[in-house]
Amino acid sequence: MPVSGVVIRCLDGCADAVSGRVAAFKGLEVHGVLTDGQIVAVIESETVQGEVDLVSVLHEVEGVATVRLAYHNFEDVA
Amino acid sequence: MPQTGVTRRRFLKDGVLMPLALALAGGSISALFLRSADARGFYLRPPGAVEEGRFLGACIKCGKCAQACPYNSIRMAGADAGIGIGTPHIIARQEPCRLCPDIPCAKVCPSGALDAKLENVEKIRMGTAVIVDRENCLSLRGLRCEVCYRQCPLIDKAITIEARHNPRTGVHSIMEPVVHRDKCVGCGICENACVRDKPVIVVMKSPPLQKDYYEF
Amino acid sequence: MELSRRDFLKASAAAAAFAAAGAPLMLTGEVDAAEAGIKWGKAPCRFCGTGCGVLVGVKDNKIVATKGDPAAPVNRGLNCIKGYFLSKILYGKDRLTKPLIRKGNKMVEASWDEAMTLIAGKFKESIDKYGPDSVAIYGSGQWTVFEGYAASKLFKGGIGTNNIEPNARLCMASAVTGFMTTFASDEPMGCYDDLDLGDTYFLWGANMAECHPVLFSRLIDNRLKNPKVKIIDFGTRHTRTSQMADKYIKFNPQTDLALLNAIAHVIVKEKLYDETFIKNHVVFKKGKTNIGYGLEDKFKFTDDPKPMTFDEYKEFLKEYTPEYVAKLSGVPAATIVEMAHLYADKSRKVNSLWTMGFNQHTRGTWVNNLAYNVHLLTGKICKPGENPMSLTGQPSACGTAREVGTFTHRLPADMVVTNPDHRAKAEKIWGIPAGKVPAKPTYNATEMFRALDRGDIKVVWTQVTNPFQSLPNLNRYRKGARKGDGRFVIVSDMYPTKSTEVADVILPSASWVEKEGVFGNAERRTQQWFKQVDPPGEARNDLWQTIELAKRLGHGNLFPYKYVEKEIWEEYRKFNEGEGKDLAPYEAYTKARGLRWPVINGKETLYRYAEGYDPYVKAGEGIKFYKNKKDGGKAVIWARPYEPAPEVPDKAYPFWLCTGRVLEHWHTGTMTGRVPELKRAYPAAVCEMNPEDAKKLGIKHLQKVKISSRRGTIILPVDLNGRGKAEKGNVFVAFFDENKLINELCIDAYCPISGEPDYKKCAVKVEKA
Repeated sequence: MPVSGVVIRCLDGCADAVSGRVAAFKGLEVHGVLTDGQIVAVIESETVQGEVDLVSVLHEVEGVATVRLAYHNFEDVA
Repeated sequence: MPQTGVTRRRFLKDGVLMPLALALAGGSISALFLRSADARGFYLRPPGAVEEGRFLGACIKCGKCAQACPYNSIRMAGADAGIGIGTPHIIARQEPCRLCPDIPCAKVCPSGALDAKLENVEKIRMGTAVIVDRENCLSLRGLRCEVCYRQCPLIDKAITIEARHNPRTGVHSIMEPVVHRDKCVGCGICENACVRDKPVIVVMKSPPLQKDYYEF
Repeated sequence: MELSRRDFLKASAAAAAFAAAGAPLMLTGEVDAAEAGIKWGKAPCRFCGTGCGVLVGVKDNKIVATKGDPAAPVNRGLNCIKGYFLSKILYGKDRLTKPLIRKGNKMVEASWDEAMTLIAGKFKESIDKYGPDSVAIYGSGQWTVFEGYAASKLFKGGIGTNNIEPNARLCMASAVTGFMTTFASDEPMGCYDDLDLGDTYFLWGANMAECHPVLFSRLIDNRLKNPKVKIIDFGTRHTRTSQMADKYIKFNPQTDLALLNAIAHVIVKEKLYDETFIKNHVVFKKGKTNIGYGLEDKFKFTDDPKPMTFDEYKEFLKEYTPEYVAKLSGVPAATIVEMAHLYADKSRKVNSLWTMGFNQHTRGTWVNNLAYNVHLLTGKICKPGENPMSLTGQPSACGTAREVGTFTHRLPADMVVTNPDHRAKAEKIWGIPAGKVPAKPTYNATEMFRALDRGDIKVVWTQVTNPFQSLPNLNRYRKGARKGDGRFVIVSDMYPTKSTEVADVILPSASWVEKEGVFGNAERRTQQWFKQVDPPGEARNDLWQTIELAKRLGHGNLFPYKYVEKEIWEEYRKFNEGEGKDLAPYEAYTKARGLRWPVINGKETLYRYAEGYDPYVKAGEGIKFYKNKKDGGKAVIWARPYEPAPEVPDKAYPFWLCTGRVLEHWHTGTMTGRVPELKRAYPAAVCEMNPEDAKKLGIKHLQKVKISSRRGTIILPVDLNGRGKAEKGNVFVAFFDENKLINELCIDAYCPISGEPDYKKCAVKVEKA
């Protein structure tokens, strides 16, 4: 059950719009929109591949410049 | 799901707690409280404990010391103690050692991990209290706190008050609690009593002894 | 993964991402919004008589922060830890929010209308059947000025009874009678500036380090800056104050009377007194001796002052030789002489400071007089940095209880009900018919609760205080409250207490900045604050409650106010005008960080009775105790003898028991006990005992002991090495712990002149539990 923290850098002035667009994504939680155009979010998925797919989709969202991984936990505790 | 090993769990804990702590407190201080006792570099052992290396070898994890403690201050360490799993330790912030005059915990230890012949509470050396966050110590900021001092069972010996002028107000004094390393037994009552959310005075592993020849 | 663990990991992930993004945990916008959303308002601290100023931060109708007010001259931004946690005192989980009426053994929620109808009915019934003296109100030195004024006006001017008493009877009454008999006017002539300007400080039975923390900090700084400064601690117990003093002088309890006379003896014998000052400013008097102890119900005492000559006074002092007093007190004769010399040292600016050791004393008035004697003999008074200062314990014992006069015998501005001119003035200002204010005082606090026990008082209303934890010989009065037979006890408070436990009706009350208020601190500084948050649930402020009762008893006409607080203030201040206690118009206090009265033309008075400082003193007069018209503007040196305490240790009860406070907790701990940090810092009461005494009884440190007096018994762990070190033959217990009612053991003996009980001396035995 991987959990990751990501930082989405948006194009100038697009942060709020992007945050609206990604809010509905399954497995993504926006935790904050910074004044410098970065969005802090947490993504989770059933598998690591699921996370990779989600991040790929994020890259395609209008207004998103880059997505980088800040934290990744793939602990498998029963 | 496969069980992760101790090393894995330790890694994840470090990985989780360190960034969280950093983000929350902007420093490594809070990591000391969020993590278990070993975060300070040591476990606060009961009174009379021999040096840690020998302690780990001597302690048979019978739990008699914990049973003898009238305040339930002694608890048995969990898996995160690694090789020390099941050994007795004290989490001062929750329940410090109260320095019972007859030291019942040490008296009842069958293996010598705690020195059963210890008679004088003032000779105990569990650790040393240190003010680790001076900017958040109310006394050092000029307020009238000094709870650690007033509650210290070795008041005026282990902790004394050194007053100095408060230049900000110009007419008050700052009453600084000063820990004296040679007298502090490391009971943790100060840490427990500290009124801040995160105690600014904590029991650390005692620094090694050293001396020179100066007469002061 | 479990849900909670997952949430934790998600939080970690977010935090890490924030850190990676280089953002603080609070988004910059959020931080500014958080700060911007806080509205700050000034208020004096809710706790001790120091009267530190704080700023209260409110957001969304809740106190989110408090901080010391840097603009407040009293404390310049500092607080003790009680003040530090002011933001928490209103938010204990069990805050009272609804009126509660006793039905059998349960307290049942009721509406305000129901509760007030019941209360008014009980008042009416009792007044009709038994007369106005069958009802009473017991208020507080933590009442705001408005609350005290309204209660006094209703009971004395409306109902027509003098059955109003404050809990200040239990803490400052002896200081008041000391002032009144020596100076004919209550309250100190000096101010806190004396702590910065003097160089010699005698502390008598006052643990200033713990009980006036910010003032003590100021005193210590004086010494740090000026190596000449000496602090002498006269006490019966070694405290943190003793530890920091230059000299700690232990004395046998009660012998403070003898010690002060011995010091006077040396000053007189060695001609160290100021002859000119005495000639110009002092008269000598003596009163009755063997004056009793107030142990019997309805005890009454009237003094019979007689003038004395200076020579007669010298004759009186003859027996108090250092050698005799050394035997009595345990203080070496050489030390007594040394202290007398220190007091009289012409190169020194000498101050005396005292609180409960002197006031809670069966000869409390006398010992207050004797402290003034030394200053009057040496002329060390009414000068900057040189004054005797009675330190007040409660935040408004001065401002409310003493200045408004919420005592059985009092009216505002030092006036008394026994004086027809004073009654007439009150009747005029209150707009009530002549003769309405009763001329005879009824009961002091102890007598009031004795009367309840006997049934002579049926209905008692307590506000902002906790007598059923704090009264001495507590068991009698707790039982008395529940005797039934027409007795009816109403308790207004913010939390459940030992007093709400014995109530018939509990009224949920607003507290501190949940209402507009004025307090007056120990240095005559009157401080105002506005309401800043709403009280919780249906809680209402005590002022509203009192006026509501007034309306229902047909006395609503006494309270025709629109802006109640301000109009009460403007009416009240008429009493003080021209009396040397002048108060400024209300607006002045809304703006200032307090003003020290008398305030004349907007200017405050730092030193009473002193030319150039006190506008009532005319040019050329130098010093004039102008309130003592009877003695031509002179102060009185009283010849007061040593008399023993009513109950002294004996074979059956071999220890003195003393009670008191600690820094962490306030009074009965109803507020501080609900601040988790303060509770954690000092969770429960202990019994301080001397290690040698403990050893003789085979008692070890932390062991549980049973302490018993003739009135009660209690089990406590013993502390042989704490912040307070008991002298041999003494034990000490703090009274903040509602699970350890130490006052059950205390004796309800009181000073016959002041009516103040002695919480510092009774006899107990100590056994292993």
